[in-house]
Amino acid sequence: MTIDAVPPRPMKISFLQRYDASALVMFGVVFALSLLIIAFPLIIFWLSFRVGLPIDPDATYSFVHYAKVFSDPFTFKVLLNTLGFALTTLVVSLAFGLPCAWLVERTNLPGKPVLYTLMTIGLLLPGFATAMGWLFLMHPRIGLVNAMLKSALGLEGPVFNITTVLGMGWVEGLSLAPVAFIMTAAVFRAMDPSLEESAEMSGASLGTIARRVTLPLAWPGILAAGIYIFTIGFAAFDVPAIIGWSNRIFTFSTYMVTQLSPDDGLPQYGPATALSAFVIILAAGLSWWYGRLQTRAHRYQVVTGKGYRPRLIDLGKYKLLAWSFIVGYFLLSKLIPLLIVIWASLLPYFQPPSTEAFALITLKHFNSLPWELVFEGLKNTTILVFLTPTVTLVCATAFSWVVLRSKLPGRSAFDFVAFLPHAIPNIVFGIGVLLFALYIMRGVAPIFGTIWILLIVFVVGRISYATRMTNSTMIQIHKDLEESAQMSGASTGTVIRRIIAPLLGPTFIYAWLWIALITFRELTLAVILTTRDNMTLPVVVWSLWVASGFGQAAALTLILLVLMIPIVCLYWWVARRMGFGASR
Amino acid sequence: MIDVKDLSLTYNSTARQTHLAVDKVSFTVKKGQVYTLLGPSGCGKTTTLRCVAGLEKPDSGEILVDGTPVSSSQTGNWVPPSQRAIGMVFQSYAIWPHMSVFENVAFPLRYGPLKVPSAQIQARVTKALSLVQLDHLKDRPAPHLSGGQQQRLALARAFVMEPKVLLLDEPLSNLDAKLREEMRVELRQLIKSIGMTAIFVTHEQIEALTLSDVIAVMNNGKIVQEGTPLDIYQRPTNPFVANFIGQSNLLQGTVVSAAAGQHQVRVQTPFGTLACQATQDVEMGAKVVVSLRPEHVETEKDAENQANVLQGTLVSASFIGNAMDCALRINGQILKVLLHAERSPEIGSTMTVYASDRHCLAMRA
Repeated sequence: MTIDAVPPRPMKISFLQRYDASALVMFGVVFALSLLIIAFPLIIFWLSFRVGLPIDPDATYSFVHYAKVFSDPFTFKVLLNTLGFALTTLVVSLAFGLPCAWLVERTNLPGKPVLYTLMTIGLLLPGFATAMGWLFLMHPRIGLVNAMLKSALGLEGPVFNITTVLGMGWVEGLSLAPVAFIMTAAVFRAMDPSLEESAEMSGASLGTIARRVTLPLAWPGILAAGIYIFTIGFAAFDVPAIIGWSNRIFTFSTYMVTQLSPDDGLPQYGPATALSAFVIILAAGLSWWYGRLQTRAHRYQVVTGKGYRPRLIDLGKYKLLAWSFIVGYFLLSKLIPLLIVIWASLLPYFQPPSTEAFALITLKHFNSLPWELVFEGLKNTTILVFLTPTVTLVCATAFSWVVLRSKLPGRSAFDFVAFLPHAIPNIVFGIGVLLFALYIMRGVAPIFGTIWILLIVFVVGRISYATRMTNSTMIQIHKDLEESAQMSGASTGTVIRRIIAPLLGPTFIYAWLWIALITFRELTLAVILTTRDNMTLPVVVWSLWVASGFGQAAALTLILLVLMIPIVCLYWWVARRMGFGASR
Repeated sequence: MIDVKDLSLTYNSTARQTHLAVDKVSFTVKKGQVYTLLGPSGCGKTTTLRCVAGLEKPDSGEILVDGTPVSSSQTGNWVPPSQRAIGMVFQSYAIWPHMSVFENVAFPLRYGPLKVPSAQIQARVTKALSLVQLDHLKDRPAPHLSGGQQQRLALARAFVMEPKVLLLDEPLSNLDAKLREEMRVELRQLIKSIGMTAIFVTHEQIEALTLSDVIAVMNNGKIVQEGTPLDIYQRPTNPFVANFIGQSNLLQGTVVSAAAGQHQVRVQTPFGTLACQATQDVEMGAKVVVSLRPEHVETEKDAENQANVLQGTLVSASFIGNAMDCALRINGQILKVLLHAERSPEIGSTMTVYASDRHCLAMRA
């Protein structure tokens, strides 16, 4: 044995040796956006303790905002409303979504692609449109159903009242049923049918199998979907705004808006941030639980990824019943509310259909729309509809590359950051961006009141969805395809442009269109951040509604929906070609 | 052309567990040579290749291509893979599915460090494609090629920029058996005709033996033996190599007679004392392993093989096409023997077999 005392010098490759310019640009993008995403909740925590105006240099720090919020009984009323609203939403959406998912994945229901298409596109109908419809239907005073029942039955008071927590939950639940459908269908699809079949071979009846095998196995997935829907319901703005606002039934989101832009006096940033901070912690707890459920779901090994051809349950004579259920759902959630909105937009003031009412039909609301404002809104919305998905997907690609392909230490932290906007209610991010603009960007770049602030918050709001899409596709691209390009001498930029981007192409198109559509109808985030100068089309609808121009709001909603049709068709065509949505 | 010195790489499989994938590997590939890293899966051969490519970052050691250090822990030099100008064929071929055959081959010329003027691209791609007989398919979308055609396309793409070195990572493993056999010969002819230096990674001994000028057998992250294919096959110096390349009967034994400076030794084994050829210097009393290939055990006595005469009971015989794969029990141990296919000896019968001392190789255990 010779003396071999000198250990080999370890290889040190510096960051700049390993990564070229385009890689550094991507690190920069990911780092900057991550910083922003983290900054928005942090700024809320900071300001929840800060006492003083934005410009105030000698602000003090204390718990007064928390004390103020949590000593106000109205806060608890709002939280209780929100809880009731979110729970009702959850129950209603699962009541419609879960059976539809089971029908599609586990039975021989005819016309499955139709159901898939209707569900996916149904998700795109803005909440404020259906909320208007339901308000016109079941408002205690002017509601069409109530009026007809009153005259038919000779009653004094209203039969239904939609302006309640339960009523709002019903409407929100109907519009979120597609989310429940899509998420639980995925659970049913991934389930190993041999587990059910072996139960059947043991002599169990169909009902027993469903109760003892199917449901317990699907339970983690259903619960995960439930938590997700609850989070959306908790932060929903459209429905509580349209139905609850004028009747002073506030939920978290609408209450936040009243605090940030009250009818009288200064914005109440202190209490708003204190309550937001509370909700962030609540949401963090909920996503921690969600994460645990996800791991448990994996432990169950329900998801095997094998290509099963599950044996489908023969519905037989119940096919008709199943489709009646589905048609019933679409009538309630989409068709009837939309018809009512059309009806409302054509009448000078709202009234039930009658011969007199038909004689009154007019295009007055369409003609009297504040067209200058509408065109301004349309211009802003159009810019955002093009920029938001583009910027989001560029950022998402950089995120996926850094997380999946670079060798940066601690890169998985970026994936967690990209998931944050999914876990924390969107409106909280809206507030964070607003405060960021007011407190931090004031002197640097006056983005408040421009569409750039909307672009930032829209990108942050969609980055979770976009990175999920780019991640799952990039994982499928074999690493050799990139490494062989590297060996051919291509720089990171060339690899991204010539190899990754073209292979991600179909996903890009699909996700681009989806984000574009969501951006087009986005109201929640926009309403917090818009001023007279950066209104989007949905915000114009909302401002008309608040100004009691119900007919005008209905008219503009219809125009908005018509404008969406071409993108929806394009989306539908792409989704079908790619086999998304309309599966099997 | 390629010098690898003391290359080491550790994988962190989990936070606490580390796995030494490449353990102080050194070798030199001369210009124009086809050098093969051969070994079982997990032996570190692909990792070594990827270090040469620059796709893995070694912990320590030095890699020189044409005298220039591309990765050196001594000087801290490190050239990224895209700047190394090394051609590589991947196990999966890594044919870009969104490009045509032509575009796949043109890619290194268009985007590589050479930046070939576009006027020349057409000619160079066509030349590369005709070398692999794919010129008639150049406008076809790449996914529309058969497995063998994709393999040749990957090859054309790897050498189109005329790199100094070609790396081949199990290029034949995705082909079906018949095609693999053809491509073995074709691949060597092709590499030789362009005169390229190549490192070839495989776990198939037959590929290594057919294709290589030099083979390095790897095990547990180390090179255990390096030599020409003939050397490796006929003179394994290590029990692992003896058993990995072809088949061997491995017998534990003790040297009972050895003369200094001579490699003729006698070894006490369970089959009795055998006259053997030592592969290294061994002393009296040394523990050795004797390797004897089944095909070197003969049933007919001749002038050479009478050094070792063994008698045993036939316990099994299976017909494997070109031969009979037999097992003899001698003193309670099994000796594998390959007999002529026409012979059909009776199970349980006693047989006498012969082996030349030239074929009984004694190596350090």
